[in-house]
Amino acid sequence: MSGWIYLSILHSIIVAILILYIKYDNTPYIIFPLVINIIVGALSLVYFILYYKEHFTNEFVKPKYYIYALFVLLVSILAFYIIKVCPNPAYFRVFATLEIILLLIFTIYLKNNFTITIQTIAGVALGCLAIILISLDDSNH
Amino acid sequence: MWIPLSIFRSIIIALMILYLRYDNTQQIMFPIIIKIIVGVLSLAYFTAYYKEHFASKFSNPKYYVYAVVSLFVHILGYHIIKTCPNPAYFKVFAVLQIILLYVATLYITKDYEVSAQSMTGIICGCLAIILISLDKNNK
Repeated sequence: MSGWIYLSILHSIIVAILILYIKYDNTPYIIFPLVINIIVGALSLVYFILYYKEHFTNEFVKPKYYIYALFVLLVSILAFYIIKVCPNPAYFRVFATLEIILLLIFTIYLKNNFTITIQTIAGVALGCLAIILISLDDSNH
Repeated sequence: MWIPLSIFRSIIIALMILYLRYDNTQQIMFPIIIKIIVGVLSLAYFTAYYKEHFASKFSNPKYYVYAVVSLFVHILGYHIIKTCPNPAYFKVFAVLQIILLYVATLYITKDYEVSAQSMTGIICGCLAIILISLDKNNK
């Protein structure tokens, strides 16, 4: 197995622990994510000043970062709104399969020489099926 | 209305991941700058609506521990998107998160009844990760 697979497993384990922590934390309103974003922003600023300070003026004038940050904000607000209005938040999670399929199609389209094996196609299809089965199971609601 | 919004959100997320994949900003500067901008926006929101909680919240060490781990995970995700053969494969690992959360919740709630449908989902998810991980083409 190559490095990105081990890192993806580590990433998944840490993300699952972080989500579990949020689930059982009792901070009111949306204070928790706001405080986390502020601290992460401050840590990132320290890191940037330590290692990339010579890029400060030429990077922070680029509009791409501000546009991307606005999209980050838009998708988080959309997620919050959809979770509130959809009949069950689990249905919303099923749309992760759409993201996987779109990414696969876009990458194949963008990289003309991209090759994909039957084994990986089966893996992606089973992954999507797993998300649908677990998310739409009535006994988990 | 939530279905078209979910489709719209999925398209935006797929495009954002693709943008990260093909953007040529050096090293890990991109996620660092995005986190700084999001941090400034959050600070503005916090100051506007929750400023009375400032001292009590920012003296609590749990936020700092969570923030460090969160930053690490964010940079790790960025690195994986850059190095894996296709960002869709990385996204499939979301199924591992779902399985881990499912098993952990069973353990925490002491409710060990798993339906046949969820068990099939867990097996499919494990198979998916094994198939993608062991494919020599994905090195």
